[in-house]
Amino acid sequence: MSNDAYKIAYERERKARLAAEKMLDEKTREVTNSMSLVKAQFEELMARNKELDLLVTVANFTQKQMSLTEALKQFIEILGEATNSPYIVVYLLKQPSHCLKLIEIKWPTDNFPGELHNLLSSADNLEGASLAARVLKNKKTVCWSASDKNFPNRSQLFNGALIDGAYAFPIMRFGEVVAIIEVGVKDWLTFQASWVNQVESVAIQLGVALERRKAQKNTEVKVKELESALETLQAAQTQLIQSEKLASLGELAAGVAHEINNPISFVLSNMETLEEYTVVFQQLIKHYQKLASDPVDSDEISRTIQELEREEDINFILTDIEPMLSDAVAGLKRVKGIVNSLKRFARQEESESQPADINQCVENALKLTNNEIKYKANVVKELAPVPIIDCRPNQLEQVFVNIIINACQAIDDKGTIQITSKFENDNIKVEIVDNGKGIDKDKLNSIFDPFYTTKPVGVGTGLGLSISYGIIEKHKGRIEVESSPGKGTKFITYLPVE
Amino acid sequence: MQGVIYTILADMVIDNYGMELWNEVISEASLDSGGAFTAGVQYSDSELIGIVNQLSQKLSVPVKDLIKVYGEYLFPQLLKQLPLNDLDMSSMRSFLLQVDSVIHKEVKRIHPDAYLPTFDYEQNESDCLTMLYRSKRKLCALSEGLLIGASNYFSTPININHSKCMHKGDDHCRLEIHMDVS
Repeated sequence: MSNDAYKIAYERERKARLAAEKMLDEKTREVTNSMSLVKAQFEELMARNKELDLLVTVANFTQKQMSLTEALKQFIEILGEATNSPYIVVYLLKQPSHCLKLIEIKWPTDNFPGELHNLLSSADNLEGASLAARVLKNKKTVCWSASDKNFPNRSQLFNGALIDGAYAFPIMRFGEVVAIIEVGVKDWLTFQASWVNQVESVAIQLGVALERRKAQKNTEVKVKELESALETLQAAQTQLIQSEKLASLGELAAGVAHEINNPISFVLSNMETLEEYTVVFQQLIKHYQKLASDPVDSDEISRTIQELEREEDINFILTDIEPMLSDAVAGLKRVKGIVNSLKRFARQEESESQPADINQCVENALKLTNNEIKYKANVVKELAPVPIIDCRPNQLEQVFVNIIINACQAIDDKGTIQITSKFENDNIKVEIVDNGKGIDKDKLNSIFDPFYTTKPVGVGTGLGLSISYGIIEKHKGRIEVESSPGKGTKFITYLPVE
Repeated sequence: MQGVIYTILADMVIDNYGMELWNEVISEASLDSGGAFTAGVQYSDSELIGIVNQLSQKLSVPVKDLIKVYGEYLFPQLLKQLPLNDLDMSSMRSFLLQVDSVIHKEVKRIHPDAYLPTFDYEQNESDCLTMLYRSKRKLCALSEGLLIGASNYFSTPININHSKCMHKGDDHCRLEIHMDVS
């Protein structure tokens, strides 16, 4: 092959090589570009990750009830790793002295430079024109560069050797600085400015968490106040129920006295008669004893006995004496019953609920109000057996007494009070119906309001139905009223059976 | 040194002096690579020195002049490899000002292992630009050649005053470039 042929071949190969090189170059550029992109994305991800770590600290602060000092310690630990700062210090604002205090230092090695420590913790640094003091005053992030002449002490100390500058971030609660984080900047050239925004946003989050915690503490205090107020209120309510009860007792007193007086009168009268009968029996027994011991004058004595028996009508006495005694016993039993009912009614509230029969409560209420009813109304009772429930029978009695008294007072002349009880849909339902004058529609909504009364001054407290409502509500039941003016009123109480 | 410097040098020698001379230079310089250069690979600096010394002897041209001539040849070849769209090519001055901050940065990005000289700039008058060259290789002559190549490319006649030189014991070379912008 000639030299020319080699030359032609060489030129061809060279062209091919240049083309290959060009292609290689382009590909390399492409790969590098992708790598740069991946690297940038990776770095961004890492930065995000650190930001997340910071946010997690804030979350932990809230969720794990971490102390502020502890949270700040973790916070600057992560911040230090993320920003590669030569140092980070934290100041807390002490109250009430309103003084900044250096509480935490992070330095990558064990030896935090003494002169830096002195400068950062000196009173000079915490007042006046220092970096921290400026943040405290302006409530804004402050940036310091070593060349900044506004901070001569610092510039002299660092002079670019240790650090190039620093950032100080406020942590605010309700618009006031509570802590300051100062982050040293090693080198402005390599410092990532994006960190400033990130730290600021996390600092705001921390502030919000602090605000939330403060609000929570306030709420807790308020809840305690409310709880104590509720206790006071409950005690007052118990007192009120008792007072109202005593008031109804006062109202009932005259009737109850009459109730007691009646049996007592006839018992007394029976006793007086029995006393007379006793005299007759004593005389007769004396004569019979004489007859037994003196057979000589027996005829004489027998005549005297017969005369006496005729005179005193001993046959009547013998038939009269037994019913008289049983009447007296019955009368005294009635008195005993009334007194017992009164005693139970007047007793302070039972401390615990107890199993009781609602029908029995109705019966007791009727007993107490008997004298109110008897001249006013006929009572028609239809009490079907109902389950025993856990309740405060004394209070429920009070409710029924209230309703029955109201029913009586609604009846002008002579009427009927119908009382029915039954077990229905898991509830004990007690209906008390009167055919009195009824309640006007516009007043119906107010009857359960405290101090609402239609009765003349001195007759009612205006608390009876309001307290009854409260008692039924406490038993998780409900009380309803239906009324037609001129026709009558119906009160229905529902007590759940659990 | 980047392989591309060697491949372009080979092209220049072969184009101007023939294949025989290049073959002789390669064999006599007894290179580790055997002269089989590929762009994109790093070769020892000593190979370039060996080649240039051989060439200097064979052509009876001082090393410095030879490098300068090579620099002039090299400029348009290197320019082909740059992403010109990203550069301000409006004038020679604006181009030169981008060498350190843009062009070398890009080269470093693509070839992180490459060793590159640094340039500091002094701008005095509009027709004068001073570039301060620093490199362990002390290839200021190559810079001069590249400047001449640039002058040809931008059609801007220049006059270089090499007032300080690392070869004379200075810590940098001072290249005062006077441009005839008229």
